Amino acid sequence: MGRARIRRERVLEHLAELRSLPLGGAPEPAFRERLRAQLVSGVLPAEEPKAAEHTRRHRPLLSQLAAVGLAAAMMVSAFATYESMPGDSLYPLKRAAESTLVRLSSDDAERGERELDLAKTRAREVASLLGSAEDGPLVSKTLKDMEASTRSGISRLERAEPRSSKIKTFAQDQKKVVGPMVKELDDSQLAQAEGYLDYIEGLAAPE
Amino acid sequence: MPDSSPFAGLLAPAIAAPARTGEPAVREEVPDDIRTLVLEAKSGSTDSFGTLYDRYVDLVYRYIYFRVGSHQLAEDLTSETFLRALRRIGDFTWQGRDFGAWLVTIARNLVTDHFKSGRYRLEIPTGEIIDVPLDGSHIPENAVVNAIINDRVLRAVRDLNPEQQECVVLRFLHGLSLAETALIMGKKSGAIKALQFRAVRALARALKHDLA
Repeated sequence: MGRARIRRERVLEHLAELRSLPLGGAPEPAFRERLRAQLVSGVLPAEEPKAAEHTRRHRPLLSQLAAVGLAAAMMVSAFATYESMPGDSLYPLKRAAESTLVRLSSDDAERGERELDLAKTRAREVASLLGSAEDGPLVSKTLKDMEASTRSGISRLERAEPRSSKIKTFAQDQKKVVGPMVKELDDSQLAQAEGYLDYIEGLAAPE
Repeated sequence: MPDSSPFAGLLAPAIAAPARTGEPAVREEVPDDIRTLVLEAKSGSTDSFGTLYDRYVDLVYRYIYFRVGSHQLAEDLTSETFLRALRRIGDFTWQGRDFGAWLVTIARNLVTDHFKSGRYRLEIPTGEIIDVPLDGSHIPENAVVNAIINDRVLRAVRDLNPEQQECVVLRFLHGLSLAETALIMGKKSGAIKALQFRAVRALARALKHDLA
């Protein structure tokens, strides 16, 4: 028999001896009786107060941090979405949110006003896109969307409030934004913009 | 080369000692009386649960006390273990485990929750683990030597890695079977056997000079 094996067997013998000795660290008789009486009485305290306390002490901190982090992330992404421009990855999300907001309008007048607000947003986007050669197609597309929103909004507003001053105000504001752009547009975009200006000038004209 | 250790040869083969009295008989073969008591407790008999408590409270308390090192905390966690067991005894199924192993599993989870770590540590002095009085004229002369031997073995156990330490403590101090130790530690019996072998080998190496 090898030495290592003999040593292992001796260790096992000593462990077996430990097992045969009385262990220390017994509970106090008073504690033992107290707990027994509680268990036999069948009256149980509220569900595991220690575990609940533990949860209250540690988990809320983590969940609060997670909630704050989530809220911050949502705010950042909401702001990024709100500020996105045509061509940005979040831009489709912004347009989807705008469409939802328009569809949620309670009546034609409100829906028309919201569509005109969208037309103003498109105008600001075109102004931001100008100056970049790569953004040509986006400018054309955004001009087209601006006109579509304007026509749809005006149509609804005229139907709901035929002589609404909001139409004239919108036309004047929009002209101030779109008018200065024409110098920077290429031929096809210029044709789009001039057609649009003609349309809104008709709306702003004195009756 | 002669061994210069002051305890060289101290760990000669131990003499078989009488079985520990008053300990819960936690074995793979579940005695009929325990089965009956558990069945009655599941049916709502608090007296039967009280009898089970009498049988296992020392095991549960010591398991916890050896890990937390504080009697106050051991009392709190022992209370919580039995209260939780009483609440959940309706869900208890044998599945090859003794009732004591189920209680120790609850205690182990509570200790882990308390410390946020499943790491096993013996948290009390080795001298407190074995309750052998060493004063008085009736104490045999070799009792002190035996206490020193036990202390050296327990110190070596304390130096084992956490898994080996838990395995040795459950198997050799608390007297649990392979199957019960496996259930408590969430491992298979074969894995516990291998863990025990590695632990004994590590102890043999650590006590090499004493075993010479």
